[in-house]
Amino acid sequence: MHRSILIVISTLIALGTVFEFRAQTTQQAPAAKPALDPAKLAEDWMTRLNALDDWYLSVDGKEVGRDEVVNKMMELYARDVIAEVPPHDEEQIGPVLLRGTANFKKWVDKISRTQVKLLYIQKRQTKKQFEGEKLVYSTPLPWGGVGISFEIIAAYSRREDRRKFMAPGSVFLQYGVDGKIERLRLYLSEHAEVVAL
Amino acid sequence: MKSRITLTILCLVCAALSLAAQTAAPQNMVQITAGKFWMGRAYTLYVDSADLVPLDKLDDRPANNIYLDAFYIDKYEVTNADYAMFVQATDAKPPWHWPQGKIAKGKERLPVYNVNWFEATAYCKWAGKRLPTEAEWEKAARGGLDRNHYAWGDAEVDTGEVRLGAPQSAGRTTDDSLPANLDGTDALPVGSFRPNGYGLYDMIGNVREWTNDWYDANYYAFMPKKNPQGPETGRYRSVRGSGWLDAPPNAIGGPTDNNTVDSRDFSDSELRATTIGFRCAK
Repeated sequence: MHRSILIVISTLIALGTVFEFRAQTTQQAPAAKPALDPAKLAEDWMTRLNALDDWYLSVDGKEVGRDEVVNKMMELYARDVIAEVPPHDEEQIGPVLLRGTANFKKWVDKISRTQVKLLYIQKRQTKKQFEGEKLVYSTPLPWGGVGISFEIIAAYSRREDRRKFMAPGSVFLQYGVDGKIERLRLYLSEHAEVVAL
Repeated sequence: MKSRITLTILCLVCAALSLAAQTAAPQNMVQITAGKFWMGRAYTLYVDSADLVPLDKLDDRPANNIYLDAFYIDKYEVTNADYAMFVQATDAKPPWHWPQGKIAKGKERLPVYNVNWFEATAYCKWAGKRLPTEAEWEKAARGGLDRNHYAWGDAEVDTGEVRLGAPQSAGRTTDDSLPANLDGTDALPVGSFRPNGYGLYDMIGNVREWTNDWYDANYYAFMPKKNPQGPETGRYRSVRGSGWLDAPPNAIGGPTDNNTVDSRDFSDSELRATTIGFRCAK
């Protein structure tokens, strides 16, 4: 009798341990895939954008390192990305719509060839005594992935004449579940030339 | 001394005649002078603001400041009578809607339609001309009115937008003075309405018109700024203007995407449509 009680208790303990272990592994399963961190995504996007002028012309006229920085930027995008970006220059009016990576790459190429001293920065916000914070707004997308947005200040010089410009703006990025950017909207308002006072 | 003066006068007269011969436009064609113009839609419609247009349909933006060399373009759309001469001279196939291959009585001055891109191209070649590029067509259609909605400007558009409470709609509240054949039952004789600023008729209305260019919705983003010739290849040809079947600018929506001078369309090169005709350039 005493022995059978011991067997029952041992069996219950063993079953309990198994169930607890299974419950733990079930809870841990989603953690296997790292979640998209909005702040890191924003920082990564800005870093790759600012690196687009990080190349040089060799003495024999070859573009050294340009393909690498362009490809590094292009790694972020899904094949069917849709992007809305500002006009390139005073010879265009209205939003420029780019559909697919082939068209989007033309825009990335153009920036890398026409702009230098790229310094797109995330705008900081201060309140009371606190130091400035880079705010990144984010939301999970209904179809999976995450959407993020943040304010920026774009600063760049034109390669052709080294005139420097600044423009406030904002970026809206939609990342798919695979971490690739499927939609981009980059808004820049009026560009002001930076001149010595 | 006297003979020298005579010789000088003769030389001057010859130079003047030669210059006049160079600048005189061929019959029923208008010269569009060289220069820049804004190609594409340079303004926002309320449908953009409300995000009502799918992103893949937004093919008329951004607007680009384009330079074109001087060119000539037909004053009128090619008519049935014009095309009949081509058919007779080349044994080309008449449009299928001509009864027994002949123009229906009274329809001689109507623009020819039911001709595909190849037939339009062949006609222009036969006439010693060519189809206009998309850029040429748009510059001609604007009639010198840069960044306006219509070939006749914006003046004909009722500015009842204040009443409508939609500041960007530029909506019409009446069709009474619409200077184009839109929303009709058939084409009308060419030149039934007054011309645009360049003296060209029916750039908007009557029939849509073939251009020489391939169509690409993404073309405007990176198009050449000087004498653009369209994409190198494509699936469809660009068709511009609007036809008698297209809706007029309406009271609520304002300029729609099929009747402004900047709106773009496309068609299969082999398609013969009752609303597509053409005019030639040189």
